[in-house]
Amino acid sequence: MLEIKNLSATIDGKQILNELNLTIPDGEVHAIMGPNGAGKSTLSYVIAGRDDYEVTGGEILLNGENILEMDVSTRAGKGVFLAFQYPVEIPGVQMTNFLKTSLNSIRKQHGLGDIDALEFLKLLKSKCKELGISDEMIKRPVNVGFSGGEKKRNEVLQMAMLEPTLCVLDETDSGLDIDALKIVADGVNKLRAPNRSFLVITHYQRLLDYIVPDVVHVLANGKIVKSGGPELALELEANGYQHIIGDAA
Amino acid sequence: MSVVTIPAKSKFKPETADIILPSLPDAVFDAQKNAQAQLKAQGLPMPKLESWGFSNLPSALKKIENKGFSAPNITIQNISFSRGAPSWAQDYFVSTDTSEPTLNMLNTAMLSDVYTIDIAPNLNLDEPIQLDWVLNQNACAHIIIRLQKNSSVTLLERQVGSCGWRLGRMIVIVEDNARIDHIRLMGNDIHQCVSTQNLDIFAVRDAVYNGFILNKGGLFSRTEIHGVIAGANAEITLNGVQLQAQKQYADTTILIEHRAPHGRSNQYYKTILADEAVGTFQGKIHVHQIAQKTDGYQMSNGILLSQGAQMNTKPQLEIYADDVKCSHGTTTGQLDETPLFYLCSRGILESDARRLLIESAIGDVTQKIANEDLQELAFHEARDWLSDIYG
Repeated sequence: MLEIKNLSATIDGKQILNELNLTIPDGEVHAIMGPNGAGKSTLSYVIAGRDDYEVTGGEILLNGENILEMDVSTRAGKGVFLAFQYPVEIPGVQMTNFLKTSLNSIRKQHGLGDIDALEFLKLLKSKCKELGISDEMIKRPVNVGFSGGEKKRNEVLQMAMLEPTLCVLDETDSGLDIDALKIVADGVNKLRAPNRSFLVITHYQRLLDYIVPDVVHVLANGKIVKSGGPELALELEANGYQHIIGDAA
Repeated sequence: MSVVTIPAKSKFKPETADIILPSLPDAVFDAQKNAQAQLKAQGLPMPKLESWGFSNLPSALKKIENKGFSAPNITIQNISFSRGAPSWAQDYFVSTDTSEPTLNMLNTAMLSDVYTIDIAPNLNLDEPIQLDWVLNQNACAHIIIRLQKNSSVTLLERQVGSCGWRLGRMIVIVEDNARIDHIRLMGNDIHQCVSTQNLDIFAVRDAVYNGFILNKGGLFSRTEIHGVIAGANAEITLNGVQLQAQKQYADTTILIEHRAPHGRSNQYYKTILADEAVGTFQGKIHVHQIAQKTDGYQMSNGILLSQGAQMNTKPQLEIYADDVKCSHGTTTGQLDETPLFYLCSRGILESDARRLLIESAIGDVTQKIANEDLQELAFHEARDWLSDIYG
């Protein structure tokens, strides 16, 4: 599914990712943990294609294809989905219109026509129900007036509608209370599938009680310094990052 | 003295604006004669004047074809109206001697027809009044609308044109507790039309003027709006969207005067510029000493869609009362990258994402139009412009 090889990236001349290597096989959930400033969010943005970052070396292969040369929307068409740490408010663009436009854009990239309006509404309704998203919410402009929890649920809704193959969750748990966290985690777990992989970036082990990863990686100074099973997250929670980063260094 | 500063090659002379109505009241006639004399002496407003610093009217007039003046081609529907100025309206034609040429002077000098609409007290019209002005050669008209006590109307004004210089002045008098929702859609030809217009608003006690102007036309356009809060608790709202492309120039210059307490004024403008278009927004809120408890707001956002586009903004506050709330803000820049990235990360092509964001910026203003049908109409007109830009 995803193979990142020797990936280096800078922003404003500052090195953030430093020959990072990471492989996520089909159907697996990998978590990335790390201290502030380790490069976690940068990694998610570089995968999605944000052009504030300059990739100075390496490659990102999605199902064998290097996506680094592709623009943002093409990557989305190939199945990359980034759930934002801070979902963006877009006044004036209605949720329904946004979701439909997104879905049809991705269908177009796959050579499909626009989705039937009725079919779309049926799909949207069922996904909203699963995530506890009200009709009133989807009539509003994108993320405008949404609470923190609503914004994160909205990210999962988009993920469910667009059916990506690689889901990158950037601190989807931050700022959520335990009930909201459960709803979001349930939504993500429902999407787990043999042909879909997840990269879950988090600051807190708590999320990984609800979205149980296959592998946990520790990111520090722009590279993966340690990988292990879910127990690694518990160890980090108990002892902090310092001794691991220290070990690696 | 001849009219020296009017471009040599043009035939725009005050004398060519014949008075179409044979019997304009003396007050109007006198005001026109006075304005013509001033125009002769002072010439057209030039960029050397402070408030015209960004606007080069003489240069624009040289670029369009001059087919001479004609009577304005105006139709008014859903209301009765009269030609000429009844005695109450004559107060608005006063001869003022100014030290420098003004747009009002120009529009009064060239005046050739006056339309008057008088809304009776307590009349509430559900159907919008429609005023259409089609321009095929130079024309100048004054339109006076008075809303008497407790009346309420919606006015939909459409200006289209293929060629010529549109000179106009609209005077809106909103009396006690009356309300007007005014929507003006300007769609003149972007190569062959020039527009110079005054919009004067007088809002008396508890009166509401809620205005919206969409300006996507004209090689050159300047709209000067003078709103006066003349009675307590009156409200004037001026919202607008300027959509300009190629070598178009659009200027909105606003002066809001708070001359009574507890008044409210809002200005919310978005100027979206493609190609080498230039936009200007000059807005001033003047709060007189008597106007305590004034609430004034002004916001101008310029969105530049290309490297060659240019936005000029001049916000001004002048406050002489001590218990008021006034705020203003202005931004100019390209489309925000973060929402653009968000939309593209959902598979939306960059050009579509840009379009969506511009639509949302426009919708942000059009949604303030009270009448939903007209809200939609204004939004669709704006969208047509976007289709021209993005295909």
